[in-house]
Amino acid sequence: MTRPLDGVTVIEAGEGIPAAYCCWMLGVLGADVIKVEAPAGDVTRRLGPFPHDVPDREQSALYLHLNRNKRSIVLDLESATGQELFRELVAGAAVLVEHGDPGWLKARGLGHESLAQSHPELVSTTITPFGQEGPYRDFAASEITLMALGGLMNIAGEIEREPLKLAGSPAHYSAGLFAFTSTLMALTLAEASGVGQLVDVSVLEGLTCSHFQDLVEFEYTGDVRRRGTGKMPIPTQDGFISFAVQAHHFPNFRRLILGADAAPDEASEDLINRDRQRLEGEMDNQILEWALQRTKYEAYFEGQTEAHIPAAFIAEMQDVLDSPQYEARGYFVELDHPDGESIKFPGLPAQMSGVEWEHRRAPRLGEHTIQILNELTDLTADEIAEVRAAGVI
Amino acid sequence: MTTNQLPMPLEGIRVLDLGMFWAGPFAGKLLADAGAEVIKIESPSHPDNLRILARGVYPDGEAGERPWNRSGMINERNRGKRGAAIELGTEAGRAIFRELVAISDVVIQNFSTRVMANWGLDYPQLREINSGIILCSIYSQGSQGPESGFVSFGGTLEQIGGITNLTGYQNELPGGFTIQLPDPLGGTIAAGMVVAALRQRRITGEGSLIDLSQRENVTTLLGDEVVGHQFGARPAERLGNRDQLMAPQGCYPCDGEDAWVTLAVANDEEWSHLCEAIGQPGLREDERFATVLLRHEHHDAIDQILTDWSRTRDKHQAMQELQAHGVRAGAVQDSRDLYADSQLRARGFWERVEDPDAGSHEYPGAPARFARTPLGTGRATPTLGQDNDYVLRDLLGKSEVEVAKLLADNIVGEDPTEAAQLGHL
Repeated sequence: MTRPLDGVTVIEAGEGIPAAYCCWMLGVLGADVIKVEAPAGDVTRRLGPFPHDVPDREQSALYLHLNRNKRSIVLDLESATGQELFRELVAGAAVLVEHGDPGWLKARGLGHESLAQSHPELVSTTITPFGQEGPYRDFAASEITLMALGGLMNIAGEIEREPLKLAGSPAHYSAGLFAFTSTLMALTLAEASGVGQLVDVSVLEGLTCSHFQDLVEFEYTGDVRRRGTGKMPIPTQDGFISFAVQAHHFPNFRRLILGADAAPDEASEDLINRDRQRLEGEMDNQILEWALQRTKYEAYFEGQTEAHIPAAFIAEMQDVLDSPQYEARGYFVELDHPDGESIKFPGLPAQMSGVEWEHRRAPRLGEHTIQILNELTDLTADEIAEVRAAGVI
Repeated sequence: MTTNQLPMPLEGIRVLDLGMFWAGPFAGKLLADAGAEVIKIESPSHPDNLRILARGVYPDGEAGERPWNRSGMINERNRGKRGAAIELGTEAGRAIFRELVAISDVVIQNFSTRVMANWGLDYPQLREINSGIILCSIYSQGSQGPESGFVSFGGTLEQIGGITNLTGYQNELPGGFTIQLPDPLGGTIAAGMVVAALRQRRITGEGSLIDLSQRENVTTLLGDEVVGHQFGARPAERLGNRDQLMAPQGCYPCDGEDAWVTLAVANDEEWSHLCEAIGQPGLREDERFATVLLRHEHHDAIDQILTDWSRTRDKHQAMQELQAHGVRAGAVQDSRDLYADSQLRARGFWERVEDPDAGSHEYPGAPARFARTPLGTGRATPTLGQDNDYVLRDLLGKSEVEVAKLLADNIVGEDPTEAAQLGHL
């Protein structure tokens, strides 16, 4: 079967989430992704979580998630031989995606300009916290500091308290998504014109693109948006729900909570200016009563199917894993874990007609080193033994 | 350099963008930035909701004569596109749309699951018109399954996708707020999938249907939590601004109203740098904080020390002092800070465009710098129906008389209907 990225070889270098996430998606779409790891392995091998909390570089959940559909080669890029082999790998690839300190590859003689001299159609996507230039270029960063600088924390949390970070690593994942889309665009041009280029993705810029409302508010009106006062989630018998009721949902919402016989409300017919929060506030007790007669999933389902309003429940991880919707879509991918058990992994959030995505487990450290060297370099078996003895691979 | 001779990556690709609100329009914008001809298609009875639900975001707060063209909410998200307003609720309007499908490459839509089918514009029907067409459907939860018809917003997707339950102040209820991240991220993956489908079409000669679930797009961002949960490795507790691994990590008050700085310490070396940065090198010898495990245990005490230090400093000053010692630090920036941010300025991030009805404004630019074909169009968001003539006459070759009749019959237009202006969308 044909897949969109058939015949595209991608080299992934560096460490962490963004490049790995970008390349996982490229791999699912059919690219042959070769992950170049340092002898110590990608940092995500050390971050876990691990089965039974026992650190094991082959069983880090973060690594196993991000690195499916890839082959792993260990190359010591600190050595001249390692650098030479890296060049040979890139020469056989259409795309290089890397995440690391700005200029770390250039410092090893492996910058885009150098690689592109003999390979002008190469697309190099580089992902850094702030981009390849500018006053923050060499600033140290982490998920929370980027979320703060990018403006997301300012609008998350309660105004009387400190701004709040979103859980997980959405800043780094979103950079991987922006890199994914940008890389495919640059590849399109490279394949059409024979001209590759450097694609410079900054986590900060991706985040700043990801919350426009407060930005245009300031630009248009001078108002600076702050956090809200926090809205309590609504308790049910077994967890929490919420409703994102818009003006045009309100009549339905009212009937859902108060029953079909409820007297019509006297609020203005001007839907735009209707004071929704006040109207909802007046119904607080009835909403609570309604919710406490239901489970969270029942309340969510009823709100959606009976009243067609954007009802939600706060899904715990087990709810996510047990979701009948995900089951029906075949979203989770079951892959064998080294322990022998089968583990559910997130699939690609998009299906494409006529194509079945293929999913393969993440590689062990250096699992494909010899295979890749045989395929993509001119090294003989003896030479491979030599570089291995020298600790390069 | 050959930059000037290079075409843009998606030059020659025509996209019909039926997107509303955020995720769909953002996908269209990303494709327009890369050189595609993107035609935003709305209708007088159902303009993009953000033209109407503008929440007062007009230049200087003034709605003006045509508020639907002055809303910052619409003007941010739709730059670089052309715009037509065609009543898809009428057979005549749908006939025009079908003619456009015949000469286009991509259709993007983020309606709920029933809309395109009700209009007779499902993928099989579009495919009959143009076998190469790519239909990118950005759904809340995909086209199949018991919850597929459910309506959502970014905030509800955060909840059902699993991120809200993990987010909140430490040991308190899950966060009662939303930041709508699923929308831009849904739009981003959608644009990427469209470009992938174009490559697939170059191989097979066939278009395809992309069936995207924004809820899944949230859960995929939590892959380590999904897998870790099955390992039984850690309870899904809310950590506030703290971290499972780094310590200290937090958000500390600075001098000024609602002013904060964040920092994170990954290892002993970085802890040592932090102690120096706050002028207390002696803390390096303090046994309470000697290892990362101990720093987790005594996090409250560290927070007090850091708060005492940060309180007297401007948030950007605090960030600079910490960074000067190699400490991962970032000020909490609001919209004013971001527009002034020296890094974003130095990179030429902002894009200034002139809107016919809203004036000249700066907006967030493209999320990546392309060395040889810089992304972005420099063109404003179309006013409602702005390019009706271009679409009907230049693209579809309709005569003046035909266009006049379409206008008279209210099949196309440039003003929202009265009901739409009142918010009946």
